[in-house]
Amino acid sequence: MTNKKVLIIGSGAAGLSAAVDLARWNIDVDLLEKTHFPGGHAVQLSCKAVKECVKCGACLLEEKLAFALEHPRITIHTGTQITDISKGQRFTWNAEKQPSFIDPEACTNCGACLESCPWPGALVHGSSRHHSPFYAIREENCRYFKDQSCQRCREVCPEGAIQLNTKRKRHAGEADAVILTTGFKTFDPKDKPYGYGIFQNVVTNMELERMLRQNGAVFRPSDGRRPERIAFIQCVGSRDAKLGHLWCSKVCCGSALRMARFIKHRESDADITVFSMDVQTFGRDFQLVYAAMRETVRLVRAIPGDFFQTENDRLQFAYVDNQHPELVEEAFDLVVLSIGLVPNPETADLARMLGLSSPAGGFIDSARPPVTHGVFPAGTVKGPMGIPESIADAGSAAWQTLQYLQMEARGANNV
Amino acid sequence: MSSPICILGSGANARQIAANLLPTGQDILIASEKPISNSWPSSSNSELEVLQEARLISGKGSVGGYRLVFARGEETLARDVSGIILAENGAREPSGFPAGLIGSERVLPLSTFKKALNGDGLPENVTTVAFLIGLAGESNPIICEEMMQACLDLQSRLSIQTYVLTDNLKVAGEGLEALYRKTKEAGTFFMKLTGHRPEISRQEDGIAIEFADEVTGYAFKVTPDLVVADESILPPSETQGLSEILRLDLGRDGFAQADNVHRLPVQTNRTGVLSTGFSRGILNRECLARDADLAAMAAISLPQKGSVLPEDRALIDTNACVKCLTCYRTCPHAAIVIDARISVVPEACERCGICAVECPRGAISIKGFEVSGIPEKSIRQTSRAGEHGDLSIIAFCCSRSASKAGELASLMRHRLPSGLQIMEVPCAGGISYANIFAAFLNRADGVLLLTCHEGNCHSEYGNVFARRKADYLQTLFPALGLAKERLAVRTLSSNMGKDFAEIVNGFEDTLRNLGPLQLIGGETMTQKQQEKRHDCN
Repeated sequence: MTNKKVLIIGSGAAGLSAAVDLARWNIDVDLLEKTHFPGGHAVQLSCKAVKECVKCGACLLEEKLAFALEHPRITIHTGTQITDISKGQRFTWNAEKQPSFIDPEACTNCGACLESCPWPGALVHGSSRHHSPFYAIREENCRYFKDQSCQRCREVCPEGAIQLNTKRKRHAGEADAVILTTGFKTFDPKDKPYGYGIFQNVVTNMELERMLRQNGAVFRPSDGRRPERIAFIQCVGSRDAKLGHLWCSKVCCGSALRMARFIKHRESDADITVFSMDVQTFGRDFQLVYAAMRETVRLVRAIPGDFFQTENDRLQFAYVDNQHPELVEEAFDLVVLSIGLVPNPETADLARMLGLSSPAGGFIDSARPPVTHGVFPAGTVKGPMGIPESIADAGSAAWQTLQYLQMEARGANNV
Repeated sequence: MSSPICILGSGANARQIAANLLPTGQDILIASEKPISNSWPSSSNSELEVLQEARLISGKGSVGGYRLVFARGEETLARDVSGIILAENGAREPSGFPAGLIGSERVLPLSTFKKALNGDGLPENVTTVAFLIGLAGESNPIICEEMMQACLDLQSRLSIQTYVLTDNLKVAGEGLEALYRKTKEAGTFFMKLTGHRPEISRQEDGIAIEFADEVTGYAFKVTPDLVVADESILPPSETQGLSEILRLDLGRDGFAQADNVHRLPVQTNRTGVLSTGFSRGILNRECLARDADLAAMAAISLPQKGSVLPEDRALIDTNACVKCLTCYRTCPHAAIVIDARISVVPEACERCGICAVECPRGAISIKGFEVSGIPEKSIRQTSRAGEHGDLSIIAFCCSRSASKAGELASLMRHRLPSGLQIMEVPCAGGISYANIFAAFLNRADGVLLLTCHEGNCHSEYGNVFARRKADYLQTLFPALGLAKERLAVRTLSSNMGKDFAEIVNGFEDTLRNLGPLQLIGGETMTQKQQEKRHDCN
């Protein structure tokens, strides 16, 4: 099919995948990504294989990203956010492009800018070898954009690649169909009484994923030491009626148990406990993995409470041990909160502009919208999914998009 | 017009795939060992043939051209198809049937119970029903959803008190947590048992289930009128047979898809054979609906015969070939076919190089692929290798994983050994003994084989082959005066930059302890190696 163009909003597992599927059918794709690095949450996850692959699918993103970047029909617009979109004959959209302030032609990824930058979160780096430039400047954290008092990165860059005067750009385009893949947001655990944001050694599973990806090992934020006793707490922000989150986030049991096994493999002394309501099945070899895991990782069916910090920045909390019905208090060196997947608040506006139904502040209704809309939601924008499931869902959306474009083409011919 | 695509299956999944494909002008052959109803979708621009109660007995050929032979009663039927889609229905089997209750009419497997509930009717005077789910083995969201739906129906429509005894309640599916809450509110009593299992016994007046509540420690006794037993979802009964005929890898769970993320969602080890729905695994409703779309898209994307040039893939020199069938046995993609001669199907070949390396006659070549030595140009030097005092490391890196991890390590600015040279290979399975010796003869002080993790190889066993070769070579090393540690195999994925750095730096430390390699009689080895070149491959 030629002369057809599809707009895909969001370049995570689903968006990238849909782009790859459609490009194979010679369809032009505009792939929009609001951050400076395509790949969404999935590209930040670590490989948790212990000699044997544990089938999380994180590595699939690397291949999709490589394909999308090289494919002549796919244009990835990073730092770009839709401001309005409407449907007439075709879809017309406007967006704003936030510069990364680093010239991709000149940058050699030497990293001098990152080393020189004294402002936390101002210079950020990517997580995949397909992120090029590997660095970007975030306006909101950069001193230069507050009072022009610091230009250290520009001074040290040997290539003159740092261009702090780059302006935001308006960007507009047209499309014949839209695939909405704005994904999820992670639950903010500050809303739960686990001391996140107060105690340094309480981290989220996403932070641990990134730590493992960066360092291949786990460290305590407070002192950079290897934690001996680690607690994972599941269902933080999921399966929570008080919050109105009546869903299981599907991916956290797999992520936590795989990370626990990975850490245990590298640090055989690590003493790991996973607190959960029900351990959810993940992967087709779950039965085997789960049985083996129970030998090395302690699984407790309880949701702990009453958190406080003790000496050496350890965390102490209480729980009812279901094996011996009594209240137990224990201390850990590191607590990992398995935060759930919640709807991306930025989806609501887009959904409204695109005429999709989403229960107030919720995930997009997964019942298929009428094909005539030309709008196809895919991936975690519809609810929690793992990487392989998001990729499959994107494939399904790509197929429906193809059907829609063909139908439109036939309609036009008949007139 | 190309030949039809064959869908093996008789149920809703097969029907939906046909409904997706027919409007695209794709002819379809539906075949199943089971009876097939007549209501199939039709289309004006494509043809549909239905073969019911027909068992596949042979399947020769490759993508773009298969000759399938079916047995139906006494007759055999041959059909030419371009691709094959497995879309059979899953099988159910009672599991966790309480030992003490075998033979009791008061115990029904979930499917039988559902049938009774939705049609035939429950036995009379049933006021309490207990469900034993996920106690013998882990359950799954499909069974848990059916169980909760049944509880809800019993509680709210029939005012029957329901008890659920389970371990991990599986709610990782759309709407299941909400269904769980609703079921609880309707009055179902959920008891989750972690450490122990209930005592179940048959008594004069019925069945008794005894257990202790884990939170309070109190003992409970339930005497239900009916017990609903757990079920397992198994691969379709045809799967084993089909896998043998079509040379498909099965997963550890027996479904017709290897447990390898690169096969997802609907691919198998063979280009041209797709596996969908319950043929490939335990899938819920949403996944089944998706699979029909994915199968249709994959089916019309199958490569046409002649779309790939033979010279771009593995080529067999028929003069050197002695038809030993090593290639046929070792090709993980079943891309080698036996007719009058042995040949490679270019559309199915993935250029992994396993056949070329395993062929004892050296009869297989792949453009740009070196079986016996190390071409100078294919080595990528990360830095000023070979300078005075630097230890030289040659790392054979799988192009899909380790090589990418190496690039990420450089990007992340991890320090890498100055004498590290990377030799990218399409698959670790394509590394030959001769490649490894050539690396040592190229003055490497140590050789690393960096492969994908087990179970993550695009060519399924490439990494296993590499490890096996290294294990074998290491047994020869003492006789050659080489320390075993100079050759090592490690696994990586494309996103493990830090690990790449740790592995190569750790290896450099090992070599530093061993000192530079002094190849005594290196000359002789070269000569010998060249003589025995083919034996080494």
